[in-house]
Amino acid sequence: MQRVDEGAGRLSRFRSLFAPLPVLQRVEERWFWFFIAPFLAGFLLFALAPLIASFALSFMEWNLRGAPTLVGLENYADLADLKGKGKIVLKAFSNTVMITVIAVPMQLVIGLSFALLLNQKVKGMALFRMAFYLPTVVAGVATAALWRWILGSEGLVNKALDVVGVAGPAWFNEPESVRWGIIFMLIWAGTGGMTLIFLAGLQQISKDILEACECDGAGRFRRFFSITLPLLSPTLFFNLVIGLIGGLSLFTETYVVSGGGGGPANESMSVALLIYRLLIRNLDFGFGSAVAWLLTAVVLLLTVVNFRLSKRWVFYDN
Amino acid sequence: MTTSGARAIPMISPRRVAIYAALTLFSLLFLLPFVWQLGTSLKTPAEIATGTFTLFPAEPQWENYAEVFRRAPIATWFFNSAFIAMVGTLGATLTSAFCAYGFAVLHARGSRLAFGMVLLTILVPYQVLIIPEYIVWAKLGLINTPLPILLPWFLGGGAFNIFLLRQFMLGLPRDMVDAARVDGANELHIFVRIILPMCAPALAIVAVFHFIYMWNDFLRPLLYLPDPSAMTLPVGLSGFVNKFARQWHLLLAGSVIALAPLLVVFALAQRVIARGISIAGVRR
Repeated sequence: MQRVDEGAGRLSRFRSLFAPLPVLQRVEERWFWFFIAPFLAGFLLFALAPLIASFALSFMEWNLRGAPTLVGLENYADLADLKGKGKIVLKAFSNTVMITVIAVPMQLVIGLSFALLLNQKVKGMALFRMAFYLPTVVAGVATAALWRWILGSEGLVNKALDVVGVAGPAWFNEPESVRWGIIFMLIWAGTGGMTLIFLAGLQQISKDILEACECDGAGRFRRFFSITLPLLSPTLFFNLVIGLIGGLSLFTETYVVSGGGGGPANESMSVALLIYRLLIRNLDFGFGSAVAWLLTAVVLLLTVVNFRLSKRWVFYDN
Repeated sequence: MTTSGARAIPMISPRRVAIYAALTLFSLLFLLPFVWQLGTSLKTPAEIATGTFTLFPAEPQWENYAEVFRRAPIATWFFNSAFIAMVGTLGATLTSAFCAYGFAVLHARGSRLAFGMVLLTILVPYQVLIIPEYIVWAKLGLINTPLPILLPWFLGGGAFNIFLLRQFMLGLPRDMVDAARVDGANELHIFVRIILPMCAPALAIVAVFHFIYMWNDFLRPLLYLPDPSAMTLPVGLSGFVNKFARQWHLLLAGSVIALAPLLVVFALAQRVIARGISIAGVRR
């Protein structure tokens, strides 16, 4: 994409050598801004403005009734007060991070395994592919409600556990198991999307390279780790970045399994759910904005770190 | 797919049997929850309460579905969901194509910076923006109207959509665009008459994915449509979790109703979905 832009830039510079084109170019530029005007308006109104406004709000106290009052760093001091208001924030962050750090790698590993299986010239691949992808398509409130039943005390999973003689917990009603229940649900719902993206990546890998490697006597594992995995690393990176951002903004699943409360004992409270509750239930806009900014900072920082680290392990062949 | 001639013919080796067995097992495992959901939604409460494991009821209780409709305004929610998903999809598809044309076909200083802003919006989760957004919509008195949910999709149409359509447009032959320009057609004309028709396959992909996204969307409708008469299906259904906490047959019947349109879209648009994933996955 970089190269295309550079080429186009060079071409227009080349053209401007010959004809009095600057006028046309100026016309083209005006058309450009005309076409992206909706995006720019949306960007200003629904991304930049709220981002700046929530930053400003994070230094204020306001609950929709009176006027907002400036309180300086008080909201941030509250964040750091881990015995008081900051306690639930720490809990929400640790819950969200724990769920993300377990669920996303599992999605990646299982998704990649499924993709490798599907890439073996399997007959009926379309059918299998869609079976894995269906949970991703329908993921939302309806499937979260379904998982309340599957992981209920009399649910499918516990019936299966009964067979092997283990008494399962009432997953979403017990503090020790609620996050594991959400993790299972996320793996079921998120793996299919990753499988399909991995599969698309695998199908881009030239068969010639793999065959050349096979002729040189490399075994299955050697071929996977020396050829397939490096060539697939951009796809892996894409899935990782998108998966992590999705995990950190977890909302729907925790809302539904806890009925909106983040319980039991705040063990399923996610950061996004906490922001929602501070907004709707507590009307604590200032503190809520501080939490939102903390989450924004974490997501952006993580993404920057990811892109930095990616230079060491992601392999772009062009 | 076409290379490695003779080896491509699947042989019945133990290895292949293992591959098929694993795929069958796991895909059934992924589908089992849906089957069990459908089965349970047709059972009587007494049947559900017995400890024995049965997939389907002795006698399907279609009455459960009628009861859900009686006890909650499902039809209204369904209509609200369909309206919001369809209008939002229309808006997102058209405006993202509009913006993508600017990025793919037109050259301007600052276009790379503007495209950087598109990509940046992927990195900022919507969840962190809700507080100021909600306050403004509430002050404007537009809670319980679909405007707060729909308007953003008419302004830009979503970064992923712009990105995918731009990618597609970059792959189109430019001769027709240049020829039309020589003939004196303006850019709007070229966009509507030439590029948009050529983008039909990509527009279908964007529309299908966006419809699915909007049908499942939860946080926005939860914030902006709290009134039972304005709710979408997911928001209404989320209330079932408490309302029908012990009545699994009703909760699951409601959930089946919410899933049904997506299953239909999924079945009809399989090819479009598969193509969309391969485009989105290959080009970053």
